[in-house]
Amino acid sequence: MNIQFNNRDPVYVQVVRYFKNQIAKGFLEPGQAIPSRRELANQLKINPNTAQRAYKEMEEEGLIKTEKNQPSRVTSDENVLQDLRDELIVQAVSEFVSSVKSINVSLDEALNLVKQKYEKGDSDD
Amino acid sequence: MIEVNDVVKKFGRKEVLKGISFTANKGEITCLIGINGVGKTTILNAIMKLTPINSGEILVDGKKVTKSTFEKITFIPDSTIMLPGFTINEAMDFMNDYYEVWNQERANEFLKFFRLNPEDKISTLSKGNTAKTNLLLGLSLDVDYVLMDEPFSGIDMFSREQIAEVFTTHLIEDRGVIITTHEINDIEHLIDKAVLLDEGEIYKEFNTEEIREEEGKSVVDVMREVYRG
Amino acid sequence: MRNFLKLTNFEFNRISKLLFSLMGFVLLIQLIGVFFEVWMYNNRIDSLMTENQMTEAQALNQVGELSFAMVMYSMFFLGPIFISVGAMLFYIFLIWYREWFGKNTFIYRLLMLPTERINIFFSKLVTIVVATLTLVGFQFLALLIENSIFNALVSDPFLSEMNVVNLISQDPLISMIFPHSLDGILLVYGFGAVIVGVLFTAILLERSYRIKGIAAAILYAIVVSALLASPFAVNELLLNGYMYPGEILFTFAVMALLVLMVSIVISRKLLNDKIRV
Repeated sequence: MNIQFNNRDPVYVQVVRYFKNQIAKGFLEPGQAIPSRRELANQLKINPNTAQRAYKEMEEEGLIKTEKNQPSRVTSDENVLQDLRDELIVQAVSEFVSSVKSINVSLDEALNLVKQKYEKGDSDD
Repeated sequence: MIEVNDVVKKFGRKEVLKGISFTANKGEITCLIGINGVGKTTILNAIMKLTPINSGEILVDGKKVTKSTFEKITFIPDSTIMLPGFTINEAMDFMNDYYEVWNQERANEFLKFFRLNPEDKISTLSKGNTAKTNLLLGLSLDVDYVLMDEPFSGIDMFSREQIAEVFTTHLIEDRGVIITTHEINDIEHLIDKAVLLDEGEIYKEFNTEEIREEEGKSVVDVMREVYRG
Repeated sequence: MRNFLKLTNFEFNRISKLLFSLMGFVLLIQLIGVFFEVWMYNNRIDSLMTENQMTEAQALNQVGELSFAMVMYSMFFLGPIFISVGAMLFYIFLIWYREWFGKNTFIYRLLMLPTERINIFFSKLVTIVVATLTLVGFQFLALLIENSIFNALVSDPFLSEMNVVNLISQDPLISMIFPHSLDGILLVYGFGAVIVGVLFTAILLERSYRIKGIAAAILYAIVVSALLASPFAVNELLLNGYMYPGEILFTFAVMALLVLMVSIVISRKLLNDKIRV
């Protein structure tokens, strides 16, 4: 587990974002146990308070569940997982749209390019 | 909570602290930031009653500092404060002799974590290992508050990394930490609160996550505004 | 109290190296003195007998018997004592200043111990006093040993056997180190302890206020001297010698105790609120 933090976004937001990505990519499976906040702080080299805050945020969003005396687990709630997927897709697409828009690419041209790239299987991941 | 209220300190005619006030909470890492010679060390010395102040007040959990406070708060200066002829073992025995709150188990954890040899004489240690030994001796006390003076200055990169790592573990967790530094880079992600000092005055005191969230600024951004604007 | 004892034990361990070296040094030099004096004496007797063709009795008659006083009043005996006294005087300052100076500033640790800071003062004071008494006790023991070796070395007609205790009381300097009575011991070493306490206060004044503190320390020393001299001065100048010596000494002792108490009160305040690392 390794995150390259930037200094301008809140650290806890970056941690949440990281978890969302891991879940959406399937690296963290539904129901899988995740490290305790203490372990997480140590692994990511962050302040335990920050780890705590990130977990609280994820709990509030329903991404993880914590039962008494149990490690926190990734939610198995399909709706939440679907929402997360949607959120990330929308986020990625809007980033893409705003950046191609800024260099005056037409919708057709953009879609074409997307199609080509997608079919070639070219991806950064 | 450690409260520093309107503290004035003069060396002769020179005012080194011009009415400083800030607080540091338990469970949080508070960082006093400023270039060298702005009075950061003096503040820590004053909290520990190692130097008299001219006016103002310093409270730890609402009480003035007395001998029993030293079982609740510890200070790790940037130089060794043990007898140079002591081995690390002897230094640990010394601490154990005087402090009720000395925690040998934790000390052993530190020995392992920092890979220190307890038979080594303190005077023969490298700079990095000296700093680690200081940390070991201070942090193995089960105290609520820890003051650290420039724990990262003048030591090698890997020692710095290791020391920064301590802050992310249970060895620090739940304590109130005040740390001074003139170089924020090593610990920017680790601190909860920053207190910017210059020429004996506090320019700004802020919560680091809040300033990132509300203003999208890093600690260094704020420092740039304060010191250069 | 427990912390005071621990600190005292700790300080005593730190002084022990010096103490053992001094003891070794004292014994060594004084034994050399014994052998040297005996050898010199035998030489003189021998040379009188061989060069001047005297009989043993004539030589003895001319030179006189050899007594242990020759050893005791020589520099071989007194020199090491002076050096020990000097070392202890030096140590009175060293015991404080070494905490501040050098690469490792132990004063931080001492002041942050969860104990009354005045215990540091007491532990150092007691260490100096106990170390001094240890040296004195050792010197007395060494004296007895040296005397018996001396008696064994000098053969009968030449030996003027003398009681060591008498020899001590005959010399004003040595009798000060080994007072004859318990009162005397209390007076000499009690007064010594008071002076050490005053010097400690002076050192703490300097450590608290630095240059200004030196002025304060000198002023304090003057006031203390005046207080301690006052019983004698009052008796001489105002009462025309009306008081008995015992009464003067008693007043002096009271003054000394008073001075010690004032020193403790000032030192306590300095250590708690004014000291600087």
